[in-house]
Amino acid sequence: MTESARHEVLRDEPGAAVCLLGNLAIVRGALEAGVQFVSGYPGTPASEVGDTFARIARDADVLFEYSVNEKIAVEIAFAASLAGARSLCSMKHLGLNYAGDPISTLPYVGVEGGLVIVSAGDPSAITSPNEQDQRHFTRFLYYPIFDPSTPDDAHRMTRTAFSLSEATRLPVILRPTTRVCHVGGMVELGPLPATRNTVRFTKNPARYVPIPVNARRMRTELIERYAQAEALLAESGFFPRAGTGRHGIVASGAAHAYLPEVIEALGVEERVSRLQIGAYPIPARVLADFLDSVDAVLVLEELTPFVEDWVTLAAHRQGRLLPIHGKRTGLLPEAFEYSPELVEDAVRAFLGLDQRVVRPVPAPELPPRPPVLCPGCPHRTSFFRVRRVFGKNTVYTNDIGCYTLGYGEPLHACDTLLCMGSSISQASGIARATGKRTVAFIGDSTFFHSGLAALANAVRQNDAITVCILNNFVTAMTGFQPSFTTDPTDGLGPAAASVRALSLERAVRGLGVDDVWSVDPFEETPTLAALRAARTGAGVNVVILSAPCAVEGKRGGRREPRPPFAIDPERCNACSLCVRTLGCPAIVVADGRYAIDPALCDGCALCAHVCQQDAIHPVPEDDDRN
Amino acid sequence: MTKLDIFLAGVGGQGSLTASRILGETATRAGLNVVVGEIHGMAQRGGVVESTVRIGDVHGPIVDDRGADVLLGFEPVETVRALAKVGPETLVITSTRPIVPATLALAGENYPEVEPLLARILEVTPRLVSLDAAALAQEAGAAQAMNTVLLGVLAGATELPFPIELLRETILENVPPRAHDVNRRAFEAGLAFGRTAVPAASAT
Repeated sequence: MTESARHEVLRDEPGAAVCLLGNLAIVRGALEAGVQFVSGYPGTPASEVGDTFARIARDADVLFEYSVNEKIAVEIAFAASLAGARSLCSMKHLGLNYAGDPISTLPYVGVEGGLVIVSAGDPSAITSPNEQDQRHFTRFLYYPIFDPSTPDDAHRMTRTAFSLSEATRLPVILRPTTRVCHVGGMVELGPLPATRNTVRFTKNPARYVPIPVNARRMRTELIERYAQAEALLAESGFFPRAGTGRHGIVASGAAHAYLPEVIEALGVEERVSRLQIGAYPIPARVLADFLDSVDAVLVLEELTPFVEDWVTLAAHRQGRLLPIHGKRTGLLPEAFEYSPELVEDAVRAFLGLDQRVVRPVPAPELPPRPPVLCPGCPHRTSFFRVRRVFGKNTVYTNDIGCYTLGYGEPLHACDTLLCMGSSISQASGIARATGKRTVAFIGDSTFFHSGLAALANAVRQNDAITVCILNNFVTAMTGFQPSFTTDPTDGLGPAAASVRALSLERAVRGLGVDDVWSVDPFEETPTLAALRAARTGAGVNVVILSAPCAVEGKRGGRREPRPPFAIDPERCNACSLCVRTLGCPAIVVADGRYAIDPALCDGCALCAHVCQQDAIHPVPEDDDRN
Repeated sequence: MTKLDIFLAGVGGQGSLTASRILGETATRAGLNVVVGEIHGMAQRGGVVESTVRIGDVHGPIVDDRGADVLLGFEPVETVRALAKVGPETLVITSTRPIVPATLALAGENYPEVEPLLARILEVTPRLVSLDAAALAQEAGAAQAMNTVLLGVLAGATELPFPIELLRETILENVPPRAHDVNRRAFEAGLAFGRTAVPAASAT
């Protein structure tokens, strides 16, 4: 048996209760629904959905790809669905924006095989630049959306999402958040299907081509299909009620997961009834029945007052004038994740109980531990060399990836950031507006994701920009998924086996950039020569800085381990230059004495190069400190 | 037992997420309800990592302030950073081996003294077990087995709601065969330390 065939999501034991990470519960739900085709782009907190499919695709007989970006991922999965395949597409919340064009017309055309888009939300923006609320896509674009509060929900909802999608021909969004994706919870395994959809594309242009004459027909059908989804959701079991008290609590997502323990701890089971909102559109009958049975409502949900407004509208339609407490009444915040304490405070206020006794919790002064580039990271060397050539007055636009950690002290390599691929267009805008050459940093995966069009635009306008492509051959920040420059023989998942690596240099030259240098940032002379030529060049030029990721390169055996370095205390004069220019976590300072932690040092030698006292040298291989 | 709340605090790369998943898996195998929560940061290595393991009659992944039954700390500053989760009944198990944040060197500041850090914990709870878990792991054969050492200490110092043997088995199933001996030794070392380190009172 292969390792992947033993993967926990493939266990053929219907009825078994297992603890699955939310993202794995989604994969299991899709497998139980007979998923045949999966695509996606890595993005925290959704990454393990794609990673798991990459690992099990062959054993599960699923076609899988890490797509170049979310737009392509959706289009490919949609096309497979038109051929009848049950298809799934995974991404983080922001990926859905990138796929905005295809997803807006997709519901008009409609699917054949069930199509489920997993778009994971990130309240508190733990690993994202914003915390947008994707639930608004339901009314905006007519998507049924499932809003799980636990891995168990996510598992059952994914399964149901496929059948709902096929019954209504609507694509369906599953929107878990971090506290579902990265929570392990109990899931009861269902049976894996014996048969799956027949896959065959049957030509039917009137059905699949939304030219205006067809689109107008599709528009009216879409409204009917959305109403049909609402009717089916009413019977779905994803709006469970508990209790018979006259104080109604309506809750969704993670906020709902905290509620049972809070109600139990307060001992108010008799006073409240609760309703979980597990999907949108919220069936009118579900809300009407609930509102009929209560005298006041508290709405608990993270982010925008989405359910709250829905409830308010429903009450108005029913002619019910009852108090509805939530964000609109100032009781609860719109920003950031909720916690059990926050939920408890709201429930206490709603029921008129005494406020929670808040005992001071210790908040000791401690050194912060912000995320930093790893020891030996090639990006650090690239930033160091680029800054050395372009200086501190050049504007450095940055992009989405580990290299965003060039922000702040001491690398100062991130003056602007917006979204995937924006470094190149932002550099264009700044260069053209200021008349000064601007430098863009972008990684290999992000460049193929959305940098190509921006580079074409810059070439067309002949902007004075230098694009530094930081190529580490992997999508590192989201967990080392293969990028488009990954050698397919590198073993980054079975999905990589059948694909080929793309050449950054050929892509860049193909877009009309003539001045292109490909260098290894650890090789000082050619790298500095390329950067100096780029600085004094005209128009768009590109420096491709390629070196394997320090972590994945070593783990994947793509480069030899390098001996760690040590600081000679006799020679070190504590000038702090190495620390002030590099910020490497392997260099530690105690009482003004500098040392290198041999367990952390990756042997990149950059600090030895920076040191002007010649105090840093490799540890001899027979040294027992190693 | 109605519930057992364990809060794990560490630094990226130390294996604290693996430890929380192993605890979750062991509880599942013992037929218990469990919720495991993880917060992944932006960096692959070197950032703050928190996770929770909640066993028994529980629903959500978050442990209340002062509500942890056990705080399992992989790094002394991170243990103190998680002190909000500690109440007077909480058992705190912490490794004393620092991982110095890169930003400290940049600011020209020292890493705090470890003894005063431990004293801060004792101001909140008398139930503290501290050890250099990295040293025990190195003695067992590999620094990476530090999370196994700490799981051993946890098993020795508390009454977990599942058999120790089941935890040992689950650990070994989660490491490659070539690392079995190291992890077996690391677990035993932690277990022995945990058994002698606290009075007989259980954590729950």
